[in-house]
Amino acid sequence: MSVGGGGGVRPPSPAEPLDDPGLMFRRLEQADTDEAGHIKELFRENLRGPTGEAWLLNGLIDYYVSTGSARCLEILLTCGDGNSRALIERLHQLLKSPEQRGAGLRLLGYYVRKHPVWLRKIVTQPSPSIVKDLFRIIKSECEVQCIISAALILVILMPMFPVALVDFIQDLFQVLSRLTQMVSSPSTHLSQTHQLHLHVATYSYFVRVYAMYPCNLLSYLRQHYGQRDSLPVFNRTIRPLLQHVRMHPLLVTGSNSTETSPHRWQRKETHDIVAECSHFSLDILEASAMDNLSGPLWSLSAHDEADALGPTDVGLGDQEVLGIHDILCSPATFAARSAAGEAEGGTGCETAVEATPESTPAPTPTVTPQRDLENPPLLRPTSASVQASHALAALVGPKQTTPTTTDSTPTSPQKKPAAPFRFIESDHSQQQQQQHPFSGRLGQVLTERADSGGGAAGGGGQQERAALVEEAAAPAPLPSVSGLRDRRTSGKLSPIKLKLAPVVSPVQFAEGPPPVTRPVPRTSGTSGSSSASGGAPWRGPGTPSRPATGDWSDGAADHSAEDREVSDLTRLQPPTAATSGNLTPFASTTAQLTQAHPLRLPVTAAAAIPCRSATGDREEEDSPPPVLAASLPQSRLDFDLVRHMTRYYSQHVLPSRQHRRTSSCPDVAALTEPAPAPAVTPARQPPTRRSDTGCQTEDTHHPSAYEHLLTVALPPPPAVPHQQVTLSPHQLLREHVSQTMPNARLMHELLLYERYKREVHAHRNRRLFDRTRATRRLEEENRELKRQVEVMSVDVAECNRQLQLVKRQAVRAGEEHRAAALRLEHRAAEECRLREQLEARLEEQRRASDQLAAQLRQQDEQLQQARCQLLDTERQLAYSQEKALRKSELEARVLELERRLLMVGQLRQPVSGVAPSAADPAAGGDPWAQLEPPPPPPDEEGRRRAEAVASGLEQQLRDRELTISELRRLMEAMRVRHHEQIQAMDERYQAVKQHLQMAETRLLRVSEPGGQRSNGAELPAPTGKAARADPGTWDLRDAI
Amino acid sequence: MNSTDERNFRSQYYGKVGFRRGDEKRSLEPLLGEVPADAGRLAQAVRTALQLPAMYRPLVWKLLLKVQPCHPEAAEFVTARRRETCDDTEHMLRLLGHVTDDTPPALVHWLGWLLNSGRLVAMDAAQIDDQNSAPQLQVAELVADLFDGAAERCWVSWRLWTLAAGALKLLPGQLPWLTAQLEREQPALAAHLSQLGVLSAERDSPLRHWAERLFCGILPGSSVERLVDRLVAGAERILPLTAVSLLLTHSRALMACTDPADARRLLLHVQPEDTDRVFNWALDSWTKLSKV
Repeated sequence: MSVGGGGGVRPPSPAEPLDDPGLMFRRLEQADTDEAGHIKELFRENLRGPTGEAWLLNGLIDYYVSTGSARCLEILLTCGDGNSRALIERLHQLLKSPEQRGAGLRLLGYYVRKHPVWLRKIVTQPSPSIVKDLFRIIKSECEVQCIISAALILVILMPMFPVALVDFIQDLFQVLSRLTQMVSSPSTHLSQTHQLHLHVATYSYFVRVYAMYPCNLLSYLRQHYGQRDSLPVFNRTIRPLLQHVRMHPLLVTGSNSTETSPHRWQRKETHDIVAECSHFSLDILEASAMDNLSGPLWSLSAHDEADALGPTDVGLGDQEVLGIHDILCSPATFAARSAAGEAEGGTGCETAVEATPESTPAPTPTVTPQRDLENPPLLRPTSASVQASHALAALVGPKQTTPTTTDSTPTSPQKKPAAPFRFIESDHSQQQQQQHPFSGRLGQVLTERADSGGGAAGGGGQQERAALVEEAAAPAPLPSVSGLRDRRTSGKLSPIKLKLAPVVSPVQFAEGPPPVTRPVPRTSGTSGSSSASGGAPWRGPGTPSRPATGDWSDGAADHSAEDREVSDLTRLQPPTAATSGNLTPFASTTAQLTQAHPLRLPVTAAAAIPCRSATGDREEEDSPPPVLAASLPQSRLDFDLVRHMTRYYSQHVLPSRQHRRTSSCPDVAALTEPAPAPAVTPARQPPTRRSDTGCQTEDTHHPSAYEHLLTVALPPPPAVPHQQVTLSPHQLLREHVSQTMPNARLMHELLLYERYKREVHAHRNRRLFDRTRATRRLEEENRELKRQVEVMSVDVAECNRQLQLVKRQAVRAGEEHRAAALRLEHRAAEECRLREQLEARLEEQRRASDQLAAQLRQQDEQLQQARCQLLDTERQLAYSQEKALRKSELEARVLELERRLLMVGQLRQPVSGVAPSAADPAAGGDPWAQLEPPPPPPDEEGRRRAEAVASGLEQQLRDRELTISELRRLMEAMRVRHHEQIQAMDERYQAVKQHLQMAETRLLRVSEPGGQRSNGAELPAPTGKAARADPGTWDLRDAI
Repeated sequence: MNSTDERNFRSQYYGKVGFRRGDEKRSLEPLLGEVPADAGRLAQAVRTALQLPAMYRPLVWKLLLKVQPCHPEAAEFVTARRRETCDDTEHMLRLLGHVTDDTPPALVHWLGWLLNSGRLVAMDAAQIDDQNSAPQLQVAELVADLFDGAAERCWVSWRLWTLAAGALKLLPGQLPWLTAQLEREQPALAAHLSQLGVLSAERDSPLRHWAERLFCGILPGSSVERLVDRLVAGAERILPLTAVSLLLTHSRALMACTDPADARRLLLHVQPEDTDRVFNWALDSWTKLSKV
């Protein structure tokens, strides 16, 4: 807001004094924006001091209060951090002075919406407490404008300082009481516009208070409206508000102390609280800030409501008679309301209650919040086309039915909207008391009030209520019809609309199955008929039930004409078959309506009918969540049309149109009193522009929340008769300004409030958008991680499979290895056994070889012995040969001797007998001795003797020769024998040698490593004797 | 000798009639009765004798083969040595695992001869196992018929195998002589056989086949004994002459053979006849040759 001022302005020289404030202010307001920015910067520089210059601040404030300068406001809004105390002081003074109160509130509103740092002081600071001033203003002030401003400021402050405001909670509630009091029983001088604004502010305030401190609020309400006396007041004031909020969970889960504890708000920011508060509102506009975060139901409903809300501008002409909630309804509402405007009925309350029982959220905690969430989705899906057709029918309907309905059963549409409290009027107090003590008591009070004929009730309304009471006593004579109707009324509309249920009907038609026996046109006729019953608890200042107020001066004829016009406006859409089918006489519709029991919201048409008939008396418990029904193409069309028209009205003055327009929508501005504070500069006049530029969240899809108010606040130029067209434009402008000025300021306030709300929501949206972005990023990351996990899981599965394979192979290899090891062990054992055997054989052979060696030694010894014997034998043989030689010598000598002896004998023969006897003794002696002496002469005797000796010798010789030959023979035999023995021994020796050689060879083979089983072919040929092993070289024979 | 033959009318008569068995028994007895016996004269007597008396044959073979010593007093010692040698050989064979209790004695003797002659060392197990069918075993069987004692059988067999081995070694040198003898008898046969290549000293030649088994299984037992008589007595050429006689006997079949394999097969599988005709011819030839 203050941003636009001093953009690119050079900083003013700090030395420049503000000598002449007047001049400076003039310079501030000059056309040159650069210069103005310079001056603004100069002011800021001077205000920026640590203490601030109080006089300058006061001067600026005074200047602003007196002139309302926007540039001064910018300066003020940008300063104040340093001198908040003075500012608060000054604001306090402003709020205290009755004249400057409005401007002070405006300035305070700017500050509050700007939410500077020091803003907390206005709540926490005790001595000049701005909050208390606000409370005081609301409680004691009579000027509606200030009250609205203060209420809106409080509404803004509450989510900002929820904890600090707990100290003033009673004041908050009292303020609520005051506001509701003002709304319900407005002073007569209050204009329609002011009433509307007051409604809006009150509802916003109520929603905020209810959402933030529900238990305390309830306890406060019980405390202040618990008495029987104040029950009607409660019904009139608080209950309609309660109907338009959702069941607060804290009513069930919390308590007075927990909801005021600081922990509840610890983690919540302002926009969080605002969004949370808007959750609990059933108002479209209040809740329109809800985004999809609130769940499907709410988003749908919000969307539908936003769609259905579009054309609300159309009926603005009628709005003065309606509550603020009426304004929020669909275009059909206005059409119906236009018809209902004529209807007079203080008793429309009961019928309205009848028509929209389920929509009423039980004011008691008995209603579970789940019900709100369960039922609506089932109701939601109703086709938009059907709803659109019904809406169209509703728009078209009044033209046909209005004349009759208004006459027969006058109803007040605003009653119906006010009526939806189930327990209000309804019916027998016993039943209601059975259902719930609180509601039962309320119902009882209501019936009492109705019986007493609370002066406002008209005759028709009395009848209606009587019939209604009767029907309530007798359980649902026409359950199907009533169920259908209930479904229509309840299922479609938000509670706000449900209050206007008969009026809003086009939407409701979409819900009910068209072919039902009594299609009830939710047109102005219906609403008109229903409005005839009971006094509406929610009664606008111009409520028809109070003709005395005089705001409603339009006659029934006007209404019918307006309806016709409205239907002309909407005639662009051809009525569908369903629409035409719904057009029925109003009287029957009213009768059906009155027969209908307010019941729970049927889930579907089929399910709802029996359910209704059975449980007709448990309405409050079963009251379904109110749901706004319709996203209506028709409504969208109407909305566009109306918006276009509005813009057109605001820009051009089209007499004919305008005239018709005013006839359908009574000129509120003309009727309302002029605003007390008309000093609004034209720069601030067009609030629509400001709201358009200021809000981030504003877009073309949603109608500006208070756009409908725009037409009220800025009504078309006063209906100028054709003959007055010729007036001067200045006159027209002055007149226009005089008419619009009172509303403009309120409008401005509201728009600023709305803009603040949008900004808060925008802030929240930004936060949420960041969060969503982060969430989406996390989701992306999560998805990516999941994908990776899948890939990894696939890899892991693959690895597991391979691992299994490897394990199996390993197991197989292990088994093979074990088998191989077993085989090798067996082989090793066999080898060991074989080796043992071979060793045993080797040992055996070794023993055999030892044995053989021993034998060999023995044989060697034997051989030695044999050789010894042989030597012995040879020696003997040599000895024998020597002997034989000597014997042969002896023989030769003997022969010599014999020869000599013969010669001697022959010699001695002549000498015979010389010495025959001399030879005897010497016969054996030395022959030479015998010869030496000359042989005796041979004589006969000697010769004989000699012969004898010779023969003897010969004999001896022969013997000896014989002996010698014998000896030779023996010796030869001995030689042969020994030779043979030696040969035998030699052969044996050779054999043993061969055996040894063989044994050694085998030993070699056995001990040879690796050659244990090799055959003999691998062995080297035996050396030595073995080389001679050829057959031819064998030496046995040679040896032989 | 001729004088005695002339004086011995009966012997001359027997000779003229055809019974050429003279008084070999009488001539042998004094020789055998000598102490120590004269092996040379005994061999001469055996060589010249027409037929050795069967009763003296074992003794004569033992004496001539020097299994039994000529001196009786050495007989005991030598016999003991011989027996020891036999036992040792068999024991050795058992040690070596070549001989078990089931082994026939002939094979035991043959393996023993192989062992003592140094041949067994050079033989592998397969060759040793193949000795089950050695041709020399028939000689051992022949000896086993003639002798009783195991040591005598063993030693006589050994001596005979030694003789056969010597004869085989001399065979290549005797081939020309043998061929000459054959040509002298039947030149055509000799030419035919030489053309066929039968007359060779190869390992599978018929001559070697005959010689290594001393014609056992080729000639009738009596002829073999007489052949061995001559052989023991030192008449080594009786073997080629017997072969020539055998060839001449089958000359007709041989002449019909044109394939050396057929001729060889024929000669390797000669069926022994019941008569001593073949050996008689050889003996006559030998007698004639020795006289010349």
